[in-house]
Amino acid sequence: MTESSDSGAPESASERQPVQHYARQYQALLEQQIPTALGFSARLNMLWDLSGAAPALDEGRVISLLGVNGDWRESEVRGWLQKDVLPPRLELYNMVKFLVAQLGDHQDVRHWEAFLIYGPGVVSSPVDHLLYREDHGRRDIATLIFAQVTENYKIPPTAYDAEEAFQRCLTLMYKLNIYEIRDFQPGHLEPFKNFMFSRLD
Amino acid sequence: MAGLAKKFTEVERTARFDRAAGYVLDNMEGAVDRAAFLAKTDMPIAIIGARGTGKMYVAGVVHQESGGESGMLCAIDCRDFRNREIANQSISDALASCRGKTLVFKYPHLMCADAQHRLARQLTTRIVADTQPPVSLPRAKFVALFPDTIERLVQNQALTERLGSVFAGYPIYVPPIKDRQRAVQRWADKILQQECEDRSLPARQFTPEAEKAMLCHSWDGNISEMRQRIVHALQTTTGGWVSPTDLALFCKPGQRSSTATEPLLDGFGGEISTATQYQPTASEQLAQRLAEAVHRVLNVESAPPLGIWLEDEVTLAVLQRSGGQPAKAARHLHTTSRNIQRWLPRIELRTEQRASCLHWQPVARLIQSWISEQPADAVSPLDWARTVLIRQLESQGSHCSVKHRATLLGVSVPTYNKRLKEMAAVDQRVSGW
Repeated sequence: MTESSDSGAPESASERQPVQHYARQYQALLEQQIPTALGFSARLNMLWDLSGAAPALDEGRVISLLGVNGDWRESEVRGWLQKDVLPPRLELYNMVKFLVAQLGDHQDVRHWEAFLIYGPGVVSSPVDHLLYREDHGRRDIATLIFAQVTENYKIPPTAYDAEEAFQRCLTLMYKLNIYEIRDFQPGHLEPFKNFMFSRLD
Repeated sequence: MAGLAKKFTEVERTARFDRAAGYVLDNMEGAVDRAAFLAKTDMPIAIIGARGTGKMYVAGVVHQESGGESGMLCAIDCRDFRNREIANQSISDALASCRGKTLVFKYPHLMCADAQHRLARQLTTRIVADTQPPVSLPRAKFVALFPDTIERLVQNQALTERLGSVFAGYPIYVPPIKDRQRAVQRWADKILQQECEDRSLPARQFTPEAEKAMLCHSWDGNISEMRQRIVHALQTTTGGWVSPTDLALFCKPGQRSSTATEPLLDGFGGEISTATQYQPTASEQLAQRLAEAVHRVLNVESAPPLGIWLEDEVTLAVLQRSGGQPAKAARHLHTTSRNIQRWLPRIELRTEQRASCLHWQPVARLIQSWISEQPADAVSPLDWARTVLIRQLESQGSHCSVKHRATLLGVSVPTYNKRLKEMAAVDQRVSGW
């Protein structure tokens, strides 16, 4: 039999192994329980903190949650908040949907769900854009870049949505690690112009 | 455009020089943002980074942003706990009195598993261990510093899964300074300013060469290494400028000509650039090149006698400046014309050897321009050049044998030791003044 590709997957149906082979492999890889979601409880508590819908852990969060949903039992809530036990899928979805609704911004429930389970090492953080929202130093630099780009490319104020362009400027600064004025080089002008004012093209 | 440029400059100047004490304004590629954000939650925070990257600085940001009062940031160094009892007792004491504090656990993965479990249980439940009825932990911020990712520490069984999970919610990664080139200059400026103030020295600046050398350096020891080098530089330099030699940083061949990317404002006319304020003198350039030459040959077995070559070049340059008149050259060299005439045949014999060494040629050219700039009544250029070389051999070659250092100077071991003593005596006289 021809060896499969580098990935180990057969290149065509004719190269597929007998089903018994896969059954053996499946049994060999079988886990008896889901690996611990490191940090799940910490992230779930963080979301509860951000939502403001329950007091802190040391002020009776567990008991308070039983008031939010009477169907939950104290032991399972303790497991979720303290022992990295994952709630059933539907339970988790509903809880995240409720908590995200408290944040007030447009947030992706599924993104938060994945972030809670797998953490920032696997899923991009849904709060990164919140990180620099209150950073006045960075906003000052963004203002100057905004002015520089519009002046350089003669872009009239009527040609763009200022709020959107400003947010895009902050986002690109974050992506390109621009934290100080001197991090901004002449070569940055064009990518900033393209990203901030993409609708002009 | 000029107005905008001026504002850019003002913001930058503020960022670099505004705060006299503490750390430099440095976002650490988002670590500070994340710390400020997480400080507003109740989550235990992990700060991950190599030695000397500034993890405690980020812990300080957490403390400050969470509204902590000064003096309430407490570090608990878990490396100090020799056994389980000491670890448990120390942590219990710290937790009992932690109200309003930010407790920073340094390297908790070095505690025994039992102590880690106990700490994890208290942090997840926020209940003081072994209390009946349960007593809540006082309200505090909990931070842990780790040298590696939590996943890897757990995988290597250094950190228990339970304690790892407590801090794995949203770790803050502090990148090494070598990955943040722009930050190198910010930290260096700040540390230099702080160390000058601590020593009541007038303000000093880095030469452009030093700035380039710092950008080229790998900074394996991170900010701690930078501080050590700057402190060392302040101990050895006397002028207003800190050179790469003072920092013991030497560019590799080929790095010297590379140019750093210019910031935006220099790309728009460069009228605010300050890079041209410093022009090294020929003697400063020569000192730098000699330091690099020593750096290059220190670990070479059949190293050239740099000291003899140096004296050869100085003698030839002085002779050339004196129009080939030995008597005039002798006055400049503070020696006799008979000596010069005695030296010349052997200098000629070594010409080919010196010329065949590519790394030596720039030094030879610098010696010529240095001699041509020297005032006629200056100190003996031979003495000055020899002293510079010996200083470099001593500062860079402490790991080599005296015999090897003497060979590089081109003298015997007793003569080398004698020169060292003479130099020390001169230093003592100068410091006595």
